[in-house]
Amino acid sequence: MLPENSSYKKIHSLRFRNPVLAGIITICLSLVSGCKEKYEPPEVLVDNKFLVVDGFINGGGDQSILKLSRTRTLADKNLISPELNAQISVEEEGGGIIGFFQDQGGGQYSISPLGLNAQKKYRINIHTSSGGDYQSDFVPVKYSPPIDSISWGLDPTGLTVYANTHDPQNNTRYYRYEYEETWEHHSEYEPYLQYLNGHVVFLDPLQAPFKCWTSNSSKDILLASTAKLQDDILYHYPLTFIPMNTERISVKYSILVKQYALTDEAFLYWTSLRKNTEQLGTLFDPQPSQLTGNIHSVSNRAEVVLGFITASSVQQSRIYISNDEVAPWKLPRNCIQLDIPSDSIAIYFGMWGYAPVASNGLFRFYAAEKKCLDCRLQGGTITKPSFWP
Amino acid sequence: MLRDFRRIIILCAILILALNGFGQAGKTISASYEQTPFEQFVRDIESKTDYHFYYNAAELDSLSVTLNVSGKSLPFILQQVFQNTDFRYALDSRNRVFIARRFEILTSLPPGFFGKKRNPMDSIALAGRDYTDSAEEKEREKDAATAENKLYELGIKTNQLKAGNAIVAGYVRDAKNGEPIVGAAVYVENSNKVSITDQYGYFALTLPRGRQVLRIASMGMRETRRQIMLYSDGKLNIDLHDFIPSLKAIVVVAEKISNVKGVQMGLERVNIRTIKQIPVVFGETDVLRVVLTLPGVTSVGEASTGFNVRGGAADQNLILFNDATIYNPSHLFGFFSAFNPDVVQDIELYKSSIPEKYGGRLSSVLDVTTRNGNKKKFAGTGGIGPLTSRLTLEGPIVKDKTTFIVGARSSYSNWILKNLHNDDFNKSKASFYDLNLILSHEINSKNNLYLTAYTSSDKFKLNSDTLYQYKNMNLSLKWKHIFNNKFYAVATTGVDHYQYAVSSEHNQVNAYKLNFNINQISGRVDFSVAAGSKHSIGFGLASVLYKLHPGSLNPVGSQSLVTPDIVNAEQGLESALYFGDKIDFGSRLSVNLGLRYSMFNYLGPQQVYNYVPGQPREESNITDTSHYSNGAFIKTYQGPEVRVTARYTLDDVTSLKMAYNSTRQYIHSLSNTAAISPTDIWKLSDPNIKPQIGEQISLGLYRNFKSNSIETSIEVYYKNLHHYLDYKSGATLILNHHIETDVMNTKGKAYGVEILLKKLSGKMNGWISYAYSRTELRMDDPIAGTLINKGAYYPANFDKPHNVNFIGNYRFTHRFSMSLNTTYSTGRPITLPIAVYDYAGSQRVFYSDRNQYRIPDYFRADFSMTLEGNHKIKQLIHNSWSVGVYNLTGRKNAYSVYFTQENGIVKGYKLSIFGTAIPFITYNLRF
Repeated sequence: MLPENSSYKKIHSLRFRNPVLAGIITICLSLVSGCKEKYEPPEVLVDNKFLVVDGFINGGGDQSILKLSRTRTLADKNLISPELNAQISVEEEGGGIIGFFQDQGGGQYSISPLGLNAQKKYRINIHTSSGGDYQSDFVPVKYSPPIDSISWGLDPTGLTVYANTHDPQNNTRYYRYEYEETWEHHSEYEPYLQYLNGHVVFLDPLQAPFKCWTSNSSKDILLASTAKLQDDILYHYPLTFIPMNTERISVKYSILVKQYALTDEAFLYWTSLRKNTEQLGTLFDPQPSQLTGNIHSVSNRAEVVLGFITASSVQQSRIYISNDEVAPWKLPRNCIQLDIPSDSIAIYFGMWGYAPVASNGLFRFYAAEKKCLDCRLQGGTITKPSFWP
Repeated sequence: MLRDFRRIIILCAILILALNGFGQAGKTISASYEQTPFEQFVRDIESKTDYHFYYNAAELDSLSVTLNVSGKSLPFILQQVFQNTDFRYALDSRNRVFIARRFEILTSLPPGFFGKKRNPMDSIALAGRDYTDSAEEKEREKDAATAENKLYELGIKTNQLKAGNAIVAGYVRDAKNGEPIVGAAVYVENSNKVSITDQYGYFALTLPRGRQVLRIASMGMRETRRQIMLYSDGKLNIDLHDFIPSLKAIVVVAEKISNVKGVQMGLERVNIRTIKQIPVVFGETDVLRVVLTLPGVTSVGEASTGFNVRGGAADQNLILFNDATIYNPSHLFGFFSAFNPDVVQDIELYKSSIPEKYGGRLSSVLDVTTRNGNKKKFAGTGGIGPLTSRLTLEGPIVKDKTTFIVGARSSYSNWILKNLHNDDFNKSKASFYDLNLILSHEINSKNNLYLTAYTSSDKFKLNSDTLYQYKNMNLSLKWKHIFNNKFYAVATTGVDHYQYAVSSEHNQVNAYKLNFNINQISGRVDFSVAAGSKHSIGFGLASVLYKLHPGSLNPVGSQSLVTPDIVNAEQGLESALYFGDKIDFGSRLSVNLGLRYSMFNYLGPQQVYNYVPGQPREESNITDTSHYSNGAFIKTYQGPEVRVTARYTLDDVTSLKMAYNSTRQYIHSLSNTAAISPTDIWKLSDPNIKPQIGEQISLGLYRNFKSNSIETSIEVYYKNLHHYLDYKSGATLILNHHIETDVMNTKGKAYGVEILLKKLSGKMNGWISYAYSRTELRMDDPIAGTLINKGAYYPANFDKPHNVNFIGNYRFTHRFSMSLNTTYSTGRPITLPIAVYDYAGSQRVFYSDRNQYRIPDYFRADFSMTLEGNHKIKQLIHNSWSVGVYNLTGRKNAYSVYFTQENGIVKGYKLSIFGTAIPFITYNLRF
């Protein structure tokens, strides 16, 4: 990949052969990696709340979802400020309105599969509840070739998941990826007892929080280009890196990869968005740029509207990776068992947040911290996802 | 023996002079002489009379006699003949004529021998017509004062002193090693006549004929004087002695004199001695860091040796290393400058009135001059620091004729990185080196040759699989020819090469190498004429042929699928003619009128895209492509550049100066990072990219205090920039075949005030400077597309209004000194996020208009101590230790402030390069 491709590797620790070298290296490190610290910028206030349009027109067989919201100031701790009660329509170039989005509440709008014509261009029209009218540019429909494979590679530092695809027509050239990862993980001890109303009782095996599934979706903007290659072949595009011996592949891991094809303009937009929000800060990074998408206010061209509408299909592929495939991947065990007398259970289990591991004879229990016996405390739920084998 | 002989002569002369009055009037003589040698004149007189002459023939062989007398006595004739000379005659009763010269009594006799106060003006010297101190080296070494008290007779000696002016010219050299001394002031006391030696140590001064006392002063050298008797144009070489620190102060009279009396404006000259006193990170003496402490010079950040002069961009500085153009003057991302301090003699920075000789860059000229090698003996210097070591050797190849100096400096960081356990660092590389070779050869007194070879190289690869490399290679050859005292010429030719490369072989399918390079071949001839006492004229012509390879991407290995992508090489020819005249109008007003006419031809082979006229330059607006064959003249830009400076002296220590300067630049660096980065693209002007044009007007007041030991100046300036190139938002600069679509012309203005207070003598020396400077840009290009900040003025990346620098050095003893360097500046402008929004699964930020906010202010203090070994002259190795702390207060100065999303939340970070106090120790040696 070209230099813009970021490396996943981070410096964790350093060991030195001798103290003199250590001293020199400390200096070098402060020279090279510099000192990064948190910085709260001076209060920046903007009166305008700009409209944000997030989503795309699905050219495949699925529904299209758009999310409308307003920008917030940096100091605003609210999670989201949705734009409610807007009307959104899809328009075909030279063909008029072909459908209206349904308001799903919470700023989310959806429309059932549209059956777009690959030869035509489409745009969206937005009418907000406050009376503002917005329009996107007309965009062509760009279909993505199928994902050839999702592969992975293991090295002593961890595992990298790669995407591989190709377009025999050499037409696609620009790709964007999203993924959703799900993994099964277990508590360190399998619980079969619980402390309930002052007594240690058996646990319903179906309710036992031993097996959990946690999901996470991609946060980074994953873009790939084969424009500089002879053939439209994307090989080993790194999607994510999982550090060695961490929870994600302690039992079984799954990743669902979504692949979108982008037009030149959309690729530029996403590249700029990525540069603006993910890639700044090192010595050689470019400066942030003002980023406007392809949506405009009808009445006032100068008004800032954020977001870029594309029309494309989605290709998906899911793989599973089991712990035994990545041996010797092993989650470190940190739990310690305490041997406690049964007359102290109210203190240990009731007040101090310990949980019973097993009984130790008639009057004693083995106890451990709750997190050792309840996988939910590491995140996730005990409900097995429907797709999980 | 010689001394005894002289004593006898002196005694005789004194006695004879005392007897003078008793001489006989004798018979009369009628004769006519026209440029008759003295010897012949004597023979003629002796044949006509019974007088007999006693004199030293060697002394009088240069005297010619022009006389027309009838019926005059011999005393009358001799009076005429020796008028305006230092010869005295005496007649005794036996018709013997003794001829001798007066001389400085004290040089050879104890003071008070004659009970008379020493008067250095009454001196007699015994020497030839053209004086070179080196011819009398041994004597001078015994007693340097002899040279000061000797009377040098210059030109063709005549008994009649013609009216008018004559020129005295020659070299000022270091007595120790014969190296030329640059920037020494040669001047006549109580007059405005001053000549500053050029880079060869050459000076030429037009003076009224007759008796004059020249004073010669140079920073770090002992001030001296020469008494001359100027008959006609003559040559005088002057050797200066090191200022020996057992005396009271470091004398920097050259600066004092040139500051107030020189016509140049906005010129900063820093000697390597001063540079070495300034504490720097890791104790690596850094030529460019010092430039950053001068008023009017700023930098965007610590990790950058790219500097901005009076609101100019980093690519608007012409950096010359012995006339070779250096494109990247830094090592290791810009943490160190790529000039070896052991070969550098001094630096000159022209901020305001750029001499008409120089051109091609808008803002400034930084001229780094090297030493020329020890002419007398073999010597060396070296240093060991935490990151680099260096060694320099120098000496004569042919004594007093040919010298060499060779310097090498290298890092050993690769070795350190390899010794680390951590895999990330094992794979890291960071190494650099630089090499210098300078040869000088004196063919004869009229011809000198100088050869400079320079290379610097960097490679680094840090925690990633990408390897960055860059390299400068330069070669220049100079021939200086002196036609006569009034007229000399320097012909220079050189080859400059700069290359950079980025490569990655981590992924076999994507393995690539990206290459860039700049090549230039240059030639120039510069003439210098001293025409009369009121004019000194310089003229010449210069030409540079550029060949740029603006980028090529190639696959590496057989598995790689990377398509070769090569941006067409481009060629251009930049030529200039210049003429300048420094005119003195009376004693107070001096004007330097300079005109440079420069022309740039964009040459084929090339393909040039044509755009729909009046439409934004975007890919979609390309109408067609024009193809041009090799050497075709595709586009020519030309225009005059005016360089005018005037100085008006208010009194002895005060002057007022004014300058107007215009400059043109045909080669541009395109960078969308704030610092100079190794991946910056260089681009020639072409049909779609206009040359940058700058104009500057400045006004300055200079005043010295306390007998010139404190100098102050205040300068104000206003600058206009046309067609400055700024990039569009989200521009792609690498491998762009139509870069004109990603950049646009902006208009700029820069203005400011610079105040400097300098004390360069005494135990405590240093300077304080304050500069207020602003640079604002505005996009006014109608075909730029979306205008940045809607076409309003916005501050440039390097706009830092307030700058304060303090450099102080205190010498406790001859061996121990301490330095403190503090600097404060306003934070540079940045574009801040003003809003947060959710998009594509994450929080994102929306940025303000360009450069509407600033990073926190910058402050740093550095401290260093230098302890020198003993000062015994006869020891094998002279050594010194330098210990210090960089960033004494440990302040975490922001290099940049940036915002990034982590797990879907936007977080702000401040990045500092040197976040703590960094101690250092360096060992230097000299042999």
